Amino acid sequence: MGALDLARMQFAVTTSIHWLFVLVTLGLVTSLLYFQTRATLARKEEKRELYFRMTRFWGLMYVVNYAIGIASGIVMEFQFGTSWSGLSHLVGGVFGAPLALETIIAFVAESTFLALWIFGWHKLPKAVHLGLIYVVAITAYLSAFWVLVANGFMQNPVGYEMQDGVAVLTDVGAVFGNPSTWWAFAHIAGAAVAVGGVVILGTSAWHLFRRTEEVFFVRSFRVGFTMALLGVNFAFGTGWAQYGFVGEIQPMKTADAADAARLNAEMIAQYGPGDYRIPDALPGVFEMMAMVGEVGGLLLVLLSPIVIWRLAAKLRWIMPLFLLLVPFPFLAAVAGWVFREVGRQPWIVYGVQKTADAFGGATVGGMWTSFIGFTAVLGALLVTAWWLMLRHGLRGPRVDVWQPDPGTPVDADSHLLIPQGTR
Amino acid sequence: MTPHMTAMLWYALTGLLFTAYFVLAGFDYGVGLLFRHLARDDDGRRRALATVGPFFLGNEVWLVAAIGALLGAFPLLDGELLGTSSTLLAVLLCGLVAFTACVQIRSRAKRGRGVFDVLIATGALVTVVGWGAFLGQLVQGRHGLPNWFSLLCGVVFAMLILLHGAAFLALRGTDEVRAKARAVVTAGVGPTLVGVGIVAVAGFFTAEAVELVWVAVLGAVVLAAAVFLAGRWTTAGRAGLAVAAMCVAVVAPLLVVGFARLPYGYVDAAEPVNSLTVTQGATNAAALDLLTVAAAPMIPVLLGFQAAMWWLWRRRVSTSTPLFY
Repeated sequence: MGALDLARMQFAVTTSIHWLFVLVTLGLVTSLLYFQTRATLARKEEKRELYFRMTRFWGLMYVVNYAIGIASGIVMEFQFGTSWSGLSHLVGGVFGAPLALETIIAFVAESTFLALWIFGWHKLPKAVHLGLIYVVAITAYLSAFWVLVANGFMQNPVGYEMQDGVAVLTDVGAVFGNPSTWWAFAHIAGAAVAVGGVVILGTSAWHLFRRTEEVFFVRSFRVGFTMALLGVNFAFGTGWAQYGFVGEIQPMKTADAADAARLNAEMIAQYGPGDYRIPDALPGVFEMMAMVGEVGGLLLVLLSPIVIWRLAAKLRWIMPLFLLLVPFPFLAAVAGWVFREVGRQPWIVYGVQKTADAFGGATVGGMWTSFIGFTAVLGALLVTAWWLMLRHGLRGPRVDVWQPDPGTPVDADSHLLIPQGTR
Repeated sequence: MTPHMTAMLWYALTGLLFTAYFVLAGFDYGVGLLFRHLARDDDGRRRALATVGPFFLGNEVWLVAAIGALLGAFPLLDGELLGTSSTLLAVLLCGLVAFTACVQIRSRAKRGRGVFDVLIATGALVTVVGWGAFLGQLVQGRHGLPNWFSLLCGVVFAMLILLHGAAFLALRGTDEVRAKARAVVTAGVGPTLVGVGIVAVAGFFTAEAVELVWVAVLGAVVLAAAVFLAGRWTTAGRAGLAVAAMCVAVVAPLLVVGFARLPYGYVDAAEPVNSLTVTQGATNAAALDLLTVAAAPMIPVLLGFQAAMWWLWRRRVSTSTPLFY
């Protein structure tokens, strides 16, 4: 493999890993909004305790997941400079700004407020603590939006002019209003909610099957089911709704075999010699994603009466079915990403710059070093984090890390810890 | 504002973000280097990590903002600076990622904490030696694989961060850890000063990227004085002042790298024609204006929220502090 192929593989691996964690982050934080709002507003003591336990249980899963999300994100961000300096040279003037906005406005805020939330249990007033998770959720979605502004520009470059051989930002509104961005944002929001939903659904199904903590997991099950149902169908709908638009901006992506040959000839005439066809396997990847949406969406609609009353606990024998569902939204999400990004090749910025011209990385040896290093480190972290999340999920809410130790002084009115110790 | 002024404003803001990262995440790395040695049992180690606990995520994330600002405001500098040192940075990032992730997940299972602790310490070491080596490459204007001078810078920077972490633990740790951390600071000042001296002398002959020599000399003097004072203040029991001195000591090399190379942002000593001034490396005026309007006002707001966090968790770690990491 040449250095360019290695750089592409490296970006694909790190982005795929990052993407798996981003989805769970966005999905679970959405569920936390519901759990913690119910807890904070609950009048009855017992319900309040139940929903706070649910917030802490699913919240810990979210926090473990977040740890790898942030780590893999750093690696990705560096690669724009370390591997793809040609990209920042040519179009950095347009595409860099939304990424800078993402990091400063959204990401730093998200991490800062998440830390306040993690350490704020029993220390901050309940309303403030609730407000924090809202800020975390909003900044998480904002973050996704700005990344998609940059990605939307790569798919459908708008709002720029070429001056002295580099792209210059001329129309901020067009860059932010890029339909490619907005379609993708709606689509991945649905996918994220679906992924968060199946994580909760699968875990709850396991516990309902085992008959542990019935009240806790019947309520969790309903939330997970509802999220999965709405998320899958929304992602499916927005996916098909943008199909025509994708065909307009990137005709090759949706072309059949006969059209592909004609389009290839046209693009050779327009952009010079090269192979502009998409890989043969790509339509299959798309089919797989569409199938998950179609079958999964329909299945969940048909099963939807299960959220009524305590049916989920009564029908425990069908619970293993829901465990089987868990991997599919993840597979579909990676397939969707592959279709969007690989389907754009050979372009890195469609019609403006080819991926091969964007490569500015090191020697083959250097690329092997970084490829093996990143894959090993991120792969090991992926396995460890998923193992920890699985373990936490299967153990259930018996152990509660955010519950104060027995004997710790707590203020009777506010339920806040009374600080002890030095100073 | 003229485009040149906006570019310089963003050069300063990007520098501020990097400064926030090195000073704040420096606490994390310093604690990561030391916590296995200062505390032998698991509870003690968790309490040592709790000194940075609530600040950890906020500290680390300034790097993401700094690289984002570099990419957004200086796409050409970003490509040259990171692209030419890509292998060094890849090694650094492997350490950094392992460190960041392992701190966050080490205490989520009972088993394997010893392994996580080794990974945390190793990750921190790789990260700080890597950053020191990268800074060494910048003042030389020689990128690619690190040479002896950049590796020397890496080792001395690691000593500096170790001292930074020790001073921090001597301020915020439990009684037992504070005593041991004070001993580390007192013992570490001498070797660090020797290291700084060697880098300064070697740098005089090799740091070809330095345009403003007086900035480099001033930086070295401030650095040495700050390290010396940190030692004195630690001996005198003024732990807070010692931490402040170490913050200055960590900032000093950044100021040298940021200001002594002006007007250049990227220097290629082997092929001077490839060098880029800050203005040449900056993005177009419209993008800079967008960043100035949308992102710049957020920086003080975020720093303010983080300051509020430091105030909220200003108490020392004690045996009753709730633990998370």
